[in-house]
Amino acid sequence: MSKLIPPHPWLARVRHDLAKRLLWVARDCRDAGRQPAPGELVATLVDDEGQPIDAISLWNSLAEQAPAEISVVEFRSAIVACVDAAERNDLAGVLGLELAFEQLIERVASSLNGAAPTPTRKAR
Amino acid sequence: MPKLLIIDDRDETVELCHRHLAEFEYVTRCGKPIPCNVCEQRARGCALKGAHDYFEAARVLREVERLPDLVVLDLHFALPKERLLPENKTEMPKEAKAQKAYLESLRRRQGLLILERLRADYPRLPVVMLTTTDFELGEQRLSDPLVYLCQNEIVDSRSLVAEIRRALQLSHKTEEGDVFWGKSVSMAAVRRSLGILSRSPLPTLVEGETGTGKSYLAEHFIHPRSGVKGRLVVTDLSTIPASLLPAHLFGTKKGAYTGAVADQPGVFEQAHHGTLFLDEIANLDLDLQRQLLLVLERNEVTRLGDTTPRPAAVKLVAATNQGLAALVEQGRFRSDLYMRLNPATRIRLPPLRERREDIADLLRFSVLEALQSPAMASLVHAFLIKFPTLSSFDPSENAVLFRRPSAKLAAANGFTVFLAPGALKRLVDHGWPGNHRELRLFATNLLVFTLCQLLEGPDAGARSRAPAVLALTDELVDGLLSSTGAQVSEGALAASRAMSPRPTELQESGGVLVEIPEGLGFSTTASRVETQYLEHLYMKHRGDLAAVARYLLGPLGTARQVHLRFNQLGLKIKLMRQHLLTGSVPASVAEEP
Repeated sequence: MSKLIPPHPWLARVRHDLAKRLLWVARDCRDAGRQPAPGELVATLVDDEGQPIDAISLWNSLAEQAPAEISVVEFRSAIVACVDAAERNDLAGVLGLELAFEQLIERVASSLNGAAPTPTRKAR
Repeated sequence: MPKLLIIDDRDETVELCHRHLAEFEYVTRCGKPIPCNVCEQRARGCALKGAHDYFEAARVLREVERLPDLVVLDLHFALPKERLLPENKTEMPKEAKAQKAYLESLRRRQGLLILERLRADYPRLPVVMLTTTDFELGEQRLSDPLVYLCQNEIVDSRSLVAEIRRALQLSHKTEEGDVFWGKSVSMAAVRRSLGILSRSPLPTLVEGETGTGKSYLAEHFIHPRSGVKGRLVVTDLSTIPASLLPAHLFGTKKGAYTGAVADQPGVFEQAHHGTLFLDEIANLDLDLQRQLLLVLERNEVTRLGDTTPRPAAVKLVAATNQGLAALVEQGRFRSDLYMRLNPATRIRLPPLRERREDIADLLRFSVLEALQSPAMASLVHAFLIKFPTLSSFDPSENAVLFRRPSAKLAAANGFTVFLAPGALKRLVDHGWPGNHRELRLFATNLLVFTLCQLLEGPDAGARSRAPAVLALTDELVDGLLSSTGAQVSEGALAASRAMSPRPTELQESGGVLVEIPEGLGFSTTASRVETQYLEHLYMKHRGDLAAVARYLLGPLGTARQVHLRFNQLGLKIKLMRQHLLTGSVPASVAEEP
């Protein structure tokens, strides 16, 4: 997650709206060297207007905006695993999303390297 | 203890700060005096720990007495449209898809819109902005020196905490501005104390001889660090006629007295929620001292001729060059007001003779400052024309070296001013009764005489380039320091006269005769000439210092500047006013400075 993130607007949105929220407490626990309290890892997500929304629904709406040539199936699985881990209070399991997000960054970077902006999935 | 305000649509950042910066204070919207960490509401999902949009932030900033030291501001706000800036969404498209894109854009850059609004009301509020890259911010905001970017959007505790600490450190440096504290122990103690007292809501009493920099510190150190929301109002009580002081301090209602043609706020009202610097507070008479005490006790003021009290909560900085404790003993200063001025923590600014280790650095600053001052520009320009020594003149390359002149050490593109170590020692040993003010004048005099002598000297002949060296001679230093020193060359005096057109103008309109005995040296001669000239102007303008200021300094000149100069020269306005009233012409009412 420490990689330099290309300023792709869709990726920035995924990072800000979803990945950051799911990982926030877990990263904080890791940095502070403390164990999370029961239920602490379960993230409260919101939609554009600040209304509560679950992680998969939020991902689905984000995935609709994804560049068409990017495979997003793997990241959806990573989100499901992350949410499950959060409910089990499994710190390492939640942090697994970091690796999945890095892989998503690489996929975006390699598929868009030098290419013009592509239409979104929904648009196609 | 630094105070933070977190503006974020989510509470993660404020929780993180509470956890990792527990020693900080936080601006909350609950109004409780206890920190969130010990509040029972915290575990119940309290929503008042910070501000979630601009409107909550603006409200809480209006209500707090002391501004936070730092604002942590998110960039993206997931909020309903009615909670987004701008309030007036006239540009919002009607078509659904375009409308969604418009709102999305507002949400993604909402932090920037909030920042813009905060800047309008609180221009000096430091802000840490949570963002991914400065790319998102655009060019404009990057130039704001008080915005610090926390560029790791996957914010972790270490990066955010480090950024907050760095921003606080940098903003404190900014607040100190150009204050030079030097190496002396006494000034280190002053800095420590003022650092604490500036944040205190209690008055700060600053004592120090004339020219020690009391008002400079109030403006450049105390006020910026005080955290008050209002502005700094500076008033010198020695420059205002006694009969006008009540109106000046407390304001007037229209019709309160003849000439009060409009409602006029006093300085207390003007400084409401800000800092009020009252210089020469010992000049207040006993009755005004009583009224001042009432204002300070009640934090409200009633204008002359009015019955309605108005809010006047100020951070008061009072300064004097007299020992107030002694005046209290003599019955010339009210003891209750003295106690209200928080004398237990009073600051005494040491005179230059008590911080001789700093004189070399202060002289260097003064010389460099004088070289770049607009007043010296014509002389510097004349020098550069006569001696085309510099290939690309850059004032930032000017240097002052305390050693014998050496072309090898001279800067390539700026002036190099050399002062021999022996002369520096004499300067360090000098008494400097006028302190910084005298030192600055001395530095300017040194440069003026040196440049004039060079300009009056022989031409460079072949216009070969050579370093611009200004060697300040021992004779000149001694001459300016002592009353029996070297004589000013006729050429230098002629050049000096050419720089100052106003005496010529005066001569055309009747002339000013000054009497100077022989052998007085540079310093005394100059002050005698100036003293007699100012006396003449005072009489000519019937005691109107503002008019003298305008005549001497142009439309921006103030009576305070002239009064200060009178004080430096030992000119007693009270005596001059008597002479003015009686119609007598004083030979000179100046005391030897």
